[in-house]
Amino acid sequence: MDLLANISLGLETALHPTNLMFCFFGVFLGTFIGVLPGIGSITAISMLMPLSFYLDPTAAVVMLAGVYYGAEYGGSTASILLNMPGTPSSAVTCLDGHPLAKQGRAGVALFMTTIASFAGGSFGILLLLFVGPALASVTLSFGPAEYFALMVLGLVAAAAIGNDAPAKGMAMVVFGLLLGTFGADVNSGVARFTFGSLYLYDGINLVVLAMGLFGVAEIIASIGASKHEVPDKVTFRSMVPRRDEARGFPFQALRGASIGSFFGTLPGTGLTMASFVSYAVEKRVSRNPSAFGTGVTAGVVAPEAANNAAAQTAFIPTLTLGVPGSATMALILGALLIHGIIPGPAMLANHPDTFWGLIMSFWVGNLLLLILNIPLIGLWVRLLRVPYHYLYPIILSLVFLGVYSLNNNVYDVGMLLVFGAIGYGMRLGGFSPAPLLIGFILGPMIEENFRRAMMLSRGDFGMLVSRPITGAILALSVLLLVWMLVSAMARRRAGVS
Amino acid sequence: MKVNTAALAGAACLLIAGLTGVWFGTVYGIGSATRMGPGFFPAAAGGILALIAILILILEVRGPEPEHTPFPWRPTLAVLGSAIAFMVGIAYFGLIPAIALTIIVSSFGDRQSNWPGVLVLAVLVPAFMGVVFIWGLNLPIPLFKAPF
Repeated sequence: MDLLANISLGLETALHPTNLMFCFFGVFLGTFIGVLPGIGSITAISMLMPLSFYLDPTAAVVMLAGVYYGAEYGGSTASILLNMPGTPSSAVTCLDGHPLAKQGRAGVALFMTTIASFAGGSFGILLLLFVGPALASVTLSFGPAEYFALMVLGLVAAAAIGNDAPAKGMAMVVFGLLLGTFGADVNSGVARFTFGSLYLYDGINLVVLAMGLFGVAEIIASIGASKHEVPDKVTFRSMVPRRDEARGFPFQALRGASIGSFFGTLPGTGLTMASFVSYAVEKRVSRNPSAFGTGVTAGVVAPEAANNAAAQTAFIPTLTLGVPGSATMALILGALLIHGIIPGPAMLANHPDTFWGLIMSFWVGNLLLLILNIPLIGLWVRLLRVPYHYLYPIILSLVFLGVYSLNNNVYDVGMLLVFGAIGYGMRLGGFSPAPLLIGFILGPMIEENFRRAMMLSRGDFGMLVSRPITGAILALSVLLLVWMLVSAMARRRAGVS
Repeated sequence: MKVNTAALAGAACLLIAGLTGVWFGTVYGIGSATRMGPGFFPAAAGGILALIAILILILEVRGPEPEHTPFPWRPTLAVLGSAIAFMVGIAYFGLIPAIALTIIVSSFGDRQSNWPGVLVLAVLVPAFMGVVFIWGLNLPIPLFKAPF
């Protein structure tokens, strides 16, 4: 009964005209960014952050979240039509999606990935509805020590995002922590790393950092890299799947959604891993595994269901524990914090309308995406026909104007340039920017909780290990760290010999 | 033996960043475990960063050879240049010239850009952004202004 009341509160909030409008705007922009290869949802979300400051917190987060899962719908379109993934998690969709398009069956592939995305998304939302509040009630008894331990686990998992080089991932996380300490210390007011200027007194701006590391670096990397192909038109008639394809669909989507939900809930693993694992599983259970890669619908249905389920379940740790599993989630967490909403059990108690409204808006958003991606598919195909050299100057000027409008300060654009250069350099050296962003956002929180925990225990570090929950979570983090290093060593040895 | 110079340089930068963190941490005051000073956390993070950076340095020297791709000077310089053009434009001339300059300078990054197309963009995009951001969202940025 309680759940029903919450759902109706959520629906009421989500269907409020303002929220509905920003939800539509979010998923529309998300699909747009998803369709464009090379530019990811992190860039889009940080582009919208300055705008979101002016909005009511619920509308702001509904919009930003819409960009995030909308990009997952759009990402597969570029994979299928151009063989270029629009988002990293739809890379696996290229394997069977593009061969289908080459056989003139792009319509079927697009139709089935959209339906699969919707099925996967819905599965994830259901899980979020039931598991989220339960998990939040467990964390009600958590003190600063437990939160510190949880965040350490989140950081270690974040390092696994750049999973082929865990040492580099770890370095990026810690570098992010260090950048997070810039600005005035909350307890003493001492200005840290401001180098005598007032500009850095409030710390490094999250939007500037994210836009530089992701947006500017992504644009530099994708100029000239896009080979321009003109996709064919897609007609509605070409969308009808064969009977055997339609019959296999429910099982493929369900398998994909389950795998996706599992990886989405775990911090650090994320959407890309979900889609790759579900492709591998689908290939293994298939009666005809050799057909994979030549254009079978199972090869697009399962991974798309998986990455959309993962996109929704990624909100579970973010909203209930306050520990983001991916860089995008960290950015959404940052947006909530800017509006003064602290995710975790307190959010359910103090901002139930935001919490339930956000979850129900996912469903509304997924429905809108169904409309955007099936009847309006022609729009996105046309977008892919626009040459990139017309698009990137527009995106770049939006990025600059967005950053400038934060404080009407040119220094912010200068900082953007610095982080853009750092971000591009990191890419060249094989350092992934995502863990850095997670470290940056969690940094101040982890410092605060650590200080409080140490104050409560009167400086006894042993307390971190002796408390059961804290000890268990920290032990898990150490295990994860060791496993990561050992498996990387093994892979390295295998690669060398 | 060839090594991944970009990764080595990155690790070296991280080592310097870590040591800087430790140094400034001690300047700001480490304090005690019970009452941590403002420098405790930066020093701890810096120390860990320096250790990991050394680990990466060791790993990378023995690491696999990188594939060599030429550095994309053209896009990089165009994007950096367009940011500088934007800063100068917005500080001295207003929003419309700033956006137009950004479009023109950044278009040099791609060889496929052609002048007619760029000029059309340089007129339409600033006009559109002026309408949306200044009239629509009421951003307090002048459309045009005299430099001095």
